[in-house]
Amino acid sequence: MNGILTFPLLGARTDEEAMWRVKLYDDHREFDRLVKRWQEPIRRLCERMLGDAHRGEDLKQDTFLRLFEKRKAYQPKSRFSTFLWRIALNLCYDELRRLKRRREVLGPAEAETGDEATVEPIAETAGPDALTVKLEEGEMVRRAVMQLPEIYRAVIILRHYEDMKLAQIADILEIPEGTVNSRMAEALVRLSRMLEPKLKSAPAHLSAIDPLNMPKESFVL
Amino acid sequence: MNHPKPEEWVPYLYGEANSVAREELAAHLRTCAQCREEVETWKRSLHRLDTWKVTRARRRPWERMAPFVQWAAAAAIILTAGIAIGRATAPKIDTDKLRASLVPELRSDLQQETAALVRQEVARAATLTLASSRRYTDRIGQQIYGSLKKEVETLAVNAAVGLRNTAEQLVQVADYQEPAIQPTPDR
Repeated sequence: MNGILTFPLLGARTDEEAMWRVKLYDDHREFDRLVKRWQEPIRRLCERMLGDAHRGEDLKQDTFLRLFEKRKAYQPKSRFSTFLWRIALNLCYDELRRLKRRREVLGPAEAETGDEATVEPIAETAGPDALTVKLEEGEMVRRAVMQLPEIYRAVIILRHYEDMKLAQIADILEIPEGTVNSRMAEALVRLSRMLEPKLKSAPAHLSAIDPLNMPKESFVL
Repeated sequence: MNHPKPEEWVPYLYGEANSVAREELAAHLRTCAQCREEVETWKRSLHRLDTWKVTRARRRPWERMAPFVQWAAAAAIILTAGIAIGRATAPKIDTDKLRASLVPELRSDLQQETAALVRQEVARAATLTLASSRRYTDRIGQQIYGSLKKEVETLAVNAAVGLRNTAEQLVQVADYQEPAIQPTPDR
């Protein structure tokens, strides 16, 4: 049985085939391959959802642990990536809830991160070094994204940073595509409100810097 | 003016709007300064999002070496354990008994070795002798052959000379004319 199933799958397996083998035979080698292929995107997602590199790394580990635990629940009809993103996002939501409870109990003074703290216009204090300014601008953006409610943050991260199509995001979040669009719009309105007044004081040359990760074809000019 | 809703701009901003919607929205932007400004603001915000870079997973050298180190450590542990177990469980050796059992064996081995060596040596000497004697015989043979050849050549030359003389004599004989006999006057 095993041999018969293995034969036509020789060569490069798709993620779905690999996950099917993990589900049926607890195939550790295929599982390792899935981890290698997906750990970076998952780590990025978790880091951006939590706004913290260490928590992101921990949550990445938890995601793959949970993936193996839930292997029997995997249905080959759906895309493997959708299954995986859902697990990761749910873990992020759980962790964010846990942190929120902790802040409520311990008080804002004991809170570990300054996510909810008011954002100072850092650009005004920036030195002449353009890189420093850029790094600080990145920090300001991080704080702005962290201030977004989680449902808006998730769509912005998936669409903008992970470059997913709106339809795919709707599939992962199990919501209509129209809802994804309205969440994206709300996120954009809020982000603009947070980022615009502060960045007015940024040096003029910053606006000339071409954004590195933005696919050009994404914008209709 | 009837402005499009904010969510209608989202697929447009990310290039996912279908051609009809794209045309309509672009046409609206050309005529509506208010929407144009709003859309420009969103675009700027989206560009700014790119300044937030996440840390890249960078493994330190020792972490990259970790699998090899792990295997090496495992091998070292197994080897050490194996040697230790072997030493601990090996029976104690009675040297006298060992010597007593080894001596005859060693002796016969030695004898066999010596015999083999002698045989080898004899064979080698015989081969050498045969080779040298053959060389000697060859030399004598060549000498005899040389002198014989000389003899034969001399004989041949002599024979040739003799033959030539005979031939000349034969010619002379052939040329010989009997002297005419003077008729004696009748008496």
